[in-house]
Amino acid sequence: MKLFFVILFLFSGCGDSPLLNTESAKKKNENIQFQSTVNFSNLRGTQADSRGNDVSKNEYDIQGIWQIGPNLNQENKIIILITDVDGNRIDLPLEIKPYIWMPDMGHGSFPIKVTRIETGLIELSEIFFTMGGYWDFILEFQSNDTIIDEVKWPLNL
Amino acid sequence: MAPKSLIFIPLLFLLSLEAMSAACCGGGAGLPNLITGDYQSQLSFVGSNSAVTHTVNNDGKFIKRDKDDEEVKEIFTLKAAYLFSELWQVGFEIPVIKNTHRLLSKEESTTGIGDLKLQVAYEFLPEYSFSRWKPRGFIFIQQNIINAKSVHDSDEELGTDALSTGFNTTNLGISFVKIISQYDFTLTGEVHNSTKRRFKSTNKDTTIKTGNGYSYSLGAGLSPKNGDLRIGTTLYYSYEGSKSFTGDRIPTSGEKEFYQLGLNLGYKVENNSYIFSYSDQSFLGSAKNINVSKSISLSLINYLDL
Repeated sequence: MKLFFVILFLFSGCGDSPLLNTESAKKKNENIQFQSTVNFSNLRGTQADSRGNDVSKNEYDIQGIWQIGPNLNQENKIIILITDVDGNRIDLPLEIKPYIWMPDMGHGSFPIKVTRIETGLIELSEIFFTMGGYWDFILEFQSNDTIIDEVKWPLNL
Repeated sequence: MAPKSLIFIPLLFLLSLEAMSAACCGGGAGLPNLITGDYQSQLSFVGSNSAVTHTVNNDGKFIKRDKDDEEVKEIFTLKAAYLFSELWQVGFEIPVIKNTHRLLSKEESTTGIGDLKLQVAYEFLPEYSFSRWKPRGFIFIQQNIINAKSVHDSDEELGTDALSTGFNTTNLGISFVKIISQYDFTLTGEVHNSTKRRFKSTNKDTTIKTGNGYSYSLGAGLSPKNGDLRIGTTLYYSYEGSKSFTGDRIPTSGEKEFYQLGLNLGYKVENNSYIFSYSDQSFLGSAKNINVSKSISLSLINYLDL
């Protein structure tokens, strides 16, 4: 009986197992920015961006600038900046669907709130990374529920 | 007929097998709720509390949870089993689950009924006469019936409404129990498969097919002087194959596995038994693609004699 309680104490009272090789979650991830280029040549028909240009014949620059985070223990916010090749901020006639996904775990974390701030600026908030590890931050650009293009930004938390 | 204390041992052993896992990552399914003594029926109340201690990635690296990122699962499970003939029995389980996830700036909690489990078991290796080596053997089939949202159709930001595994899973397993003097040994193994399921929400529209999975547990216990007290230990292993996704651009997930080491202490008072268990899924330092936790549980069992 004494042995049982000694083992129980060793299990529960002394923190991590001596067999365990552990590392701490990253406390802070600062100054992380993402940048990708998208084109919507798969888009059927003609749809114009906010400057009147046909989006299927142009490329756009998508930047992600974290306002809060990305961290595990809080709500995270990111600003998405969309510009054309000349650096003009642009509104796209496409629906932007963001989500975060853990490919190894096989699940994501939903939903993410999308708020248009002004032309070419979108705030994504209520982003919660529910566990540490590798995440993909994905922005899908959709038209009539069809994915036209997407950007995928990797994150290690 | 065997002395009651010897019958009591395997019952305590099997009921003390509680494998916990975060809702996101499955595991813990398929452990049987078997009558292994000379009883007509048994009714169990199991209360458990498990806290996530680490997230384990695809490389098997354990990432320790921060103090301001707490994830706790409390489960109260009602289990019942009934022997309707000499060798056949049925059983069910209904869990009430409370998931809590607490961050620096947000706390979220959801309580509800989790997945139901139905079970049929057959004792294919009964013990009609004393044998020094031959164990009692059971074969069982268990059906998990989804009854709540899972991580794949969760609506809450921290996913605490994921009270279900998300899949109707069928488990086929076998269990052996052997008592030698004041020692007892148990071996249980099962394989399982789930039906493909579509998850449609405002966020995603994905059909998921889970890979096959299996688990096993090994255990040993000691009842000093064949009395009503028992101390035991268990080793449990769970494996889940990759999930495949369709209707989306996400291809497959990684495999999931973990070990769980447990200690349990049981005591019998008349027709009731009490079991305290402690288990640790990080102790052996081997897991993949899962949240691992440390758990305590208390089981109260009432049984009726034949």
